[in-house]
Amino acid sequence: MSCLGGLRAKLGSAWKAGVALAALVVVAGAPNATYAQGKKAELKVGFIAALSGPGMSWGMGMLGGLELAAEDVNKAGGVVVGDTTYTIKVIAYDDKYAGPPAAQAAQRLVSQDEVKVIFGPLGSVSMLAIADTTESNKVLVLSNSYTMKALSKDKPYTFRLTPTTAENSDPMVAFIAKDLPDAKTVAIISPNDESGKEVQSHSEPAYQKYGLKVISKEFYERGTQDFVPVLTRIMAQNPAILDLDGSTPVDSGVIMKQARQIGFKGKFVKVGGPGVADSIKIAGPAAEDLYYYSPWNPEEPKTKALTDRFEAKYKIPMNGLGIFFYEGAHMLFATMKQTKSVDTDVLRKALESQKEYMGLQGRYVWGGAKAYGINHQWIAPFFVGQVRKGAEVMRTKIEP
Amino acid sequence: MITTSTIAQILVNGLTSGAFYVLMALGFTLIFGILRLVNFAHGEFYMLGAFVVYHLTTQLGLDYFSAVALSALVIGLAGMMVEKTVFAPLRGRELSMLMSALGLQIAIQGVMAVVEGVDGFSIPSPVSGVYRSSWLAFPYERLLVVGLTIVVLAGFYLLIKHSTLGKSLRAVAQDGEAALMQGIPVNRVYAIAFGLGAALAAIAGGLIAPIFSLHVYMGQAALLKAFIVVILGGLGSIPGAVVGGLLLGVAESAFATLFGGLTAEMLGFLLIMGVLLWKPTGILARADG
Repeated sequence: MSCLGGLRAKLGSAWKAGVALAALVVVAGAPNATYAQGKKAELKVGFIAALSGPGMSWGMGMLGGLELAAEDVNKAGGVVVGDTTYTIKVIAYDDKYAGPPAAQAAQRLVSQDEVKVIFGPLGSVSMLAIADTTESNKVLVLSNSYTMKALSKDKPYTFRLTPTTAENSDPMVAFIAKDLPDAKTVAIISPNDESGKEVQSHSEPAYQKYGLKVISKEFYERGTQDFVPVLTRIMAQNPAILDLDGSTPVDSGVIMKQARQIGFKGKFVKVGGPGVADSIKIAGPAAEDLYYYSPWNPEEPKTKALTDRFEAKYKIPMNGLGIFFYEGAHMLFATMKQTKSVDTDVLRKALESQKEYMGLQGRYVWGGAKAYGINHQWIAPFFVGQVRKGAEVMRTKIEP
Repeated sequence: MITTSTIAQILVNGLTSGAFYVLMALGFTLIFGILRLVNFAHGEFYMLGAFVVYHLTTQLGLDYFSAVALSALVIGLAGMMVEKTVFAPLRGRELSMLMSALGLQIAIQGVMAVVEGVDGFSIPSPVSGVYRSSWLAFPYERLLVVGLTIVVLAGFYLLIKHSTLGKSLRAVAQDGEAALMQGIPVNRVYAIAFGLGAALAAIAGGLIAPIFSLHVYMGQAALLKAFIVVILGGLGSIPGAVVGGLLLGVAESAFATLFGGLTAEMLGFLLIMGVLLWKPTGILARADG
């Protein structure tokens, strides 16, 4: 049974979702699967992300993307390596968006479930927490997270599927600077944590490179609901652009609404993180003209078919992280087929020498040597969108 | 540069935050004053109140003000039932009640995450527009929160000071056994106090939801603020909750505007530590209940 598939009834009926969550725990906690006799076997891949709590919607998107890719591969006959045909089985654990549960999950996946590949985790703290376990056991990790510390020469088995602002800020700001030639000043409002500081450290030099002066940088604690005092401080500087940085979609919506209420007349920009639909829902008309990073064009037919399939199966909208894990899982399974191996050393070297991967969204390449010292960062195509009349409009596609 | 306009804006922002903190802290301190319970689930009643208003207005088409009133009634009754089933059997065992409150918080949050999902929602504001002058911007929806908080406070004051129920509440707060000997139905008063506290949290949730956003984890931060306010004002003291709420609101607003969000957090807690060093039991230690 699909782990997340059982959650499809969540929005319609609570008790069904409760049963599904219980099933998720049962599946996640199941003892080692018994390998079938002969030439068929299960290839267990681990998954770690927030499947409850505030990061749950992101985590569920990632898991759904992975499960749909596994479903595709299994339907197409699995992965053939030598004389063995593997069907993919996803074993998922909830890390509650925190380090200690992620470390425990990694330990369990490695020692009990004996996986050699882990997708996830979602958060930077979790990412750093699992590294010792995965690297020392040569487990291939295909992660999310935004921290610069996630990738380094010392972590040869760790790769990142989701592009960060280190990759996206520059081309996105270049487009905005060209689109708003009269804008000369920027204020950045960021959550006070690893990801907020990380995003700000990338966007600030990008703004300066394209002639936009960052005149105000403000941090707020996660959980803040009343941004008006900080916005009052920002407004005193009269910036032309207010960058919402790595704020969550909900926080971004609240910030835009409250900024407009106290008279902010400039443009909003969101360089960090996907999820603009929630921001529009919260901010309403205040979100008009917002420039935002989008991992996909929701109207592109292939993407739309995938998101429709996701929604039909799980009864929740697919989010931007889901597409990276769908594409990334397909890329890894294709690499297994090409190399005819599930050995992580073989796969690691194959990924490092992979020139490009053509996925649903277009061309993906491995990069990051300059920023991280190792080419383990997936560089994906992305879009700069803008909210117009309450709808998401894609302004440009940026290719790697 | 600090101008008259900046000071005015700080005060207006602080007044709005303070009004919200007062509403949250009022129910929290009432429950503690009567039941001797630090109600960790208070933030969840606030969240439930906001969601009831959301469904009543967006799905049943009820007008906002009726929805807030109905939400307070529904959550108040639910609070009474919770008190009867969860806390009444543990009466006198403060630690057990505390743990039950913690369990209740986690349970409500978990159930709501399954039922409502974890995405954010928004309630359309009943009023729109902003009062603007050369020195001040005051959104009408914030003005409404301040106005309705004053109305709720006045109603609450009248209830406590001038009604039979209020006298019973005060009597139980002072000495439950003595109140029982005077023929006051103490168990019923406990349930009503808890229901009243939950209803006040629900009103806070309903009033604040159009300004912020609503999601199933919104109660956590609100609970923290309520906790700070009642410690600052004096645990169990209703006037203390009012003074503490307004003081915290204005202080946070001033610090955030003048020094930025992070410094404001730090200075806010330094202020609290300073106040507690000066008055260890809070500014207005419990004088009445």
